[in-house]
Amino acid sequence: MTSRSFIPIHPVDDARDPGRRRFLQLMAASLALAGTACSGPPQEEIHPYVKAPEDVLPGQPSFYATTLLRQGWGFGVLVESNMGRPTKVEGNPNHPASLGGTDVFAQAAVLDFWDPDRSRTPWQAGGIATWEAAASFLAARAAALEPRGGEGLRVLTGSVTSPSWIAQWQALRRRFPAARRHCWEPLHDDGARQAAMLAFGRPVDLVLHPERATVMLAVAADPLGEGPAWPAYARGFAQRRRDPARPTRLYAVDVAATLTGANADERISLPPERAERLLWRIGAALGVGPGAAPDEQLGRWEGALLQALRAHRGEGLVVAGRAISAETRALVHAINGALGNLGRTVEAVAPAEFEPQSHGESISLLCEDMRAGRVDTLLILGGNPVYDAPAALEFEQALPSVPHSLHAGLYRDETAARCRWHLPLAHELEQWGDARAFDGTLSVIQPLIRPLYGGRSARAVLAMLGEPAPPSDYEAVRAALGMPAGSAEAEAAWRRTLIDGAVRDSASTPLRLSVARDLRAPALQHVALTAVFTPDASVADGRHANNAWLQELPRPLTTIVWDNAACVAPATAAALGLADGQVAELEVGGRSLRVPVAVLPGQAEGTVTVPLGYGRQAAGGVGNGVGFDGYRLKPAGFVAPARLKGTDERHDLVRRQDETSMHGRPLAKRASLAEVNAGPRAEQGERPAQSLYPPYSYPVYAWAMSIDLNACIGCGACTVACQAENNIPVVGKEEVARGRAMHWIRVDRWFDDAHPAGPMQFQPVPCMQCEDAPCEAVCPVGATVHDSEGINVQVYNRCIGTRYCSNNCPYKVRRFNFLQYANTEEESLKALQNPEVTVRRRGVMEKCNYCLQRITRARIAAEEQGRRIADGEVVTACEAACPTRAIVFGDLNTPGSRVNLAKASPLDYRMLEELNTRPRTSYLVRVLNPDPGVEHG
Amino acid sequence: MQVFTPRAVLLLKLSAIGVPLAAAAAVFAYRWDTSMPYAIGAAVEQPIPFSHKHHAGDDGIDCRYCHASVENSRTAGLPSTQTCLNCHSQLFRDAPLLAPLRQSLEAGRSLPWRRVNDLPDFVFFDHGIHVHKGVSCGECHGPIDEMPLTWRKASLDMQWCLGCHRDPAPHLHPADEVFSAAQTSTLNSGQRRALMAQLGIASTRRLTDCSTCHR
Repeated sequence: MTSRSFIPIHPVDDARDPGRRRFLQLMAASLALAGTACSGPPQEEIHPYVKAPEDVLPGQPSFYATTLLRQGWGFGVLVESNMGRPTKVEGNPNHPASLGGTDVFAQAAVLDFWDPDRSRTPWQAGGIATWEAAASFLAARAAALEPRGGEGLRVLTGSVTSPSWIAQWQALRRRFPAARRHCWEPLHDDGARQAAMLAFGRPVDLVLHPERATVMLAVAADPLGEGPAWPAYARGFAQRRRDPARPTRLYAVDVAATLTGANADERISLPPERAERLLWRIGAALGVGPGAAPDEQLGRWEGALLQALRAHRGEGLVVAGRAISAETRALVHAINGALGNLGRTVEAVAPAEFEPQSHGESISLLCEDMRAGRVDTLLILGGNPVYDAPAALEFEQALPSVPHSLHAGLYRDETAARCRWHLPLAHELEQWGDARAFDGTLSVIQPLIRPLYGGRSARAVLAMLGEPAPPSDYEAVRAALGMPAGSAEAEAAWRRTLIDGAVRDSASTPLRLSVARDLRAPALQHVALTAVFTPDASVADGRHANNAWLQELPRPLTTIVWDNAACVAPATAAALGLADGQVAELEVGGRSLRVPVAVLPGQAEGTVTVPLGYGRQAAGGVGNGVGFDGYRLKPAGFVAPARLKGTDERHDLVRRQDETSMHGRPLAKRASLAEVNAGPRAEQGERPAQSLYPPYSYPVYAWAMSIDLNACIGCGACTVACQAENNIPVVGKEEVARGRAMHWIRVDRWFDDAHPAGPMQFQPVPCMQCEDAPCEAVCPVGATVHDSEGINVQVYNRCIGTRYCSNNCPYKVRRFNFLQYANTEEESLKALQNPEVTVRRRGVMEKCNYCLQRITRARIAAEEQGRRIADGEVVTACEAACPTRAIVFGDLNTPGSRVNLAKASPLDYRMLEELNTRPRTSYLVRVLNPDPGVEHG
Repeated sequence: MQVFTPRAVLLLKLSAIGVPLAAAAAVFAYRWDTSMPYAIGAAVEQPIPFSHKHHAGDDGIDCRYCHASVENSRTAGLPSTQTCLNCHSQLFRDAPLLAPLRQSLEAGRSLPWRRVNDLPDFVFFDHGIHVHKGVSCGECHGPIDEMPLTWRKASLDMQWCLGCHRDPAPHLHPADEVFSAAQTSTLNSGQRRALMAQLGIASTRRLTDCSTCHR
């Protein structure tokens, strides 16, 4: 690989350019309008409470512990409420899935909540209806079906872990014994369940402990980037990787490129059948399974891996993902058993899901029954099967044969449009509820606000089937958690649970299981091209498609925004004659679709990744028509043989970062553990001693940040957290193509020039807050100035938009409002804004300011109490969100502060040191631990 | 030979007068257009003609009885309908002037007061820190205990804010004087120095940083 970028720099498409003339016309028109629209400050009104609530202090945010749902599993969070408006999500340190960090979906949840496209009213047959009408419809259905024991009553849900819902359903089943529940969660891992049945003879959930693992092997799995617990896993993984006393090594075998693979110490990419054979050979070497034919290309890699696994019995961890067959995943359990890892780094617990079953079979049965006329009343609670059910089932065509269909959901989506009834569901932030986390921990969903559009919970919808005296959601949750109102003891437990967000010590106890040893290998065949269907890093299964923050968040590996693309390895692209951005005909199981191709090193040869969740028709104004719909091709599983043929059409894939190579400049530094152990490093290099600028003094505080590249896994949670905290607007695909994305903290991703398919490098880049800031010197109006604590502040009301500062910034972290990006019209989006941060207007430069509002809040609290701000009192939004704790912020003038400790590390370095800008934000070198037994040539 | 025709000369002369006049008019129009809805000292009409003179001045009710969050939040807070009714369920309970208050309670809808002191949205002012640092209510709100209807005392422009931020000492009051309409500090220079030290205001550098009020 040369230092040339292997992904072409995004071409400027002239045809799309509206042209200078048109632009000037628009500008002239808007200037003329600007003159007329300008009128002085409006007469503001103050609306005090009628009766002031006890716990609300006007102007001060309060935080509530609640739970967001991830395919049925609970993810504990703290939500900031500003006078009753939920505006920001933080992790819940007391919740096992969060441990204080969050992922991008949690950060974007407030935008989901305030989304103006949410469903606002019940609908019946294409017209607005009322809740009363819906209630009488459901009561009538219940009355009609009751004599037959509920035969013909079907309820379709996703994965359910909610104890209160389970209790309700069980009571309902007593009344309607013939009623049936079907499950459909498009990303449900049926293979994992099947593998558990094969290996343990019963369904289990796995709880991983990367923090206990010295050697980890991930095969086509993404424990650090996907699933209900990845923030917790990533935390444990990073915790170990940063501990120099206990070195670890992560081996990854990627089929589709994953974040886990990108962060591995040793990464190879193999098509599924070769990856499976590798596992069978490892199994045979450890005494389980029949083995498989050798793979000559893998000899040394495999040998080194096997040696490492053997050397760390009980401290190894092997996981395999969806693209691997159930038989082989059962073998992985046996391998973990043979290595003594079970019960140590991998624990099996009773499934959190209610009635664990194969979702593929469940929905297939439902479709069969619908076609056969055995379904009289179908209640779809929360899902969107018309969009995401396996294409071969033709759910959409079967639906009209159901006489009474009802869909309840957050949006009037594809399924809602084809059901007789649609009811708006309440968001997690506006209902009482409960859920179990990945490890079984009971978590409470606590409302922060009354339903915006009168939505109700799935429980309340089901209760309309004529449940006698249905309890409220609140009562049902308290009863289900065993803390009903009444006794003082239960009251105390309930209050504690509400504060914690989770019931203490409610995690499932690990099961002691023996693993079957007589495993049979599946028939593994070589397939020329395998399609691998994966959840998308931004929209998951498609449910977040209407979230503009997530659409504009660069996908971690490709940095593509507002799109999905079929990813292929460079060699596959060359073999098929495909180029990046070319549209190809993708054929799976007799169905075909035109998809844009993205070339991605790290992807296995002979595979094509199809990210799901796009091509929505009824997602809303943001998500409609973005990308292509992979579900049109998807079979029941996640892999299938495919054919890919180039067309002469091209598609504009917009990447936030086209460049792939650092061109030899040490921007994101990397070292091997052996190098670091060999002796002291001088990362800071020769620092130019002279500066033309007079030195500043910082008598009180000197804020600074340290970002540990060793811990950063590139997930992008910091970017969305910053967007939510700082009222950062989205700009849309075309503006991103022009280089106008507004993110204050971006995550640069770099490929290794010598081994593009090897481990990748991620580097979060916020404003560096230079001591000798090039931007400050060139502003003609003093709109960017140094403050007395070392922050390089941007004064919006002074800025006249010359953009000199941005031109002079070597880190390119300044963002300009070329157009009026901030939406100041939409009522619900106004309510989303952080009241402590200015909403910027067109023509103004903006950038990271170390969350000045958070510093100010801490400063005022400290000054009022006559003390200094303590270390850890100011936590920036990016730092708070980071699941791996890669970002540390604090005061350099406080001895022993966390940021001082981080900067004292020999691995500390500053980006572009040679420019003598003296940045306050510095980095810690990434330390990988490649296997010396593997040839790195 | 004449270079300009008399007509052209007239036009030139006229425009020499006209252009500056138009510019001045534009500046004036801009100032007028962006100025606050009410002038300094102009009483603002409210749904109920609430008198600070009566409540704070004559009755001597503490500012914090109604503006309850002034010490620990950025907003001082306006009293809820219920707070007004704490007294007015007994006093003047049937007064026609208080009809909006009773309606507010009955309908459960808040009473919309007109804002008298308005800052631009890019300014982040915090009441709590100001009262903790000895800035009395009167420093900004003027002789509030003498206002039958409330008016704005200060221009509230940046120059005015900086007047105090650059030289806070003359505007600081001992703790027992803060919640009053006191507008001028009665302390002598020694006492001022002592108060500054006690409040931990060592230098005005931080006070005049842009980031103190803008973000």
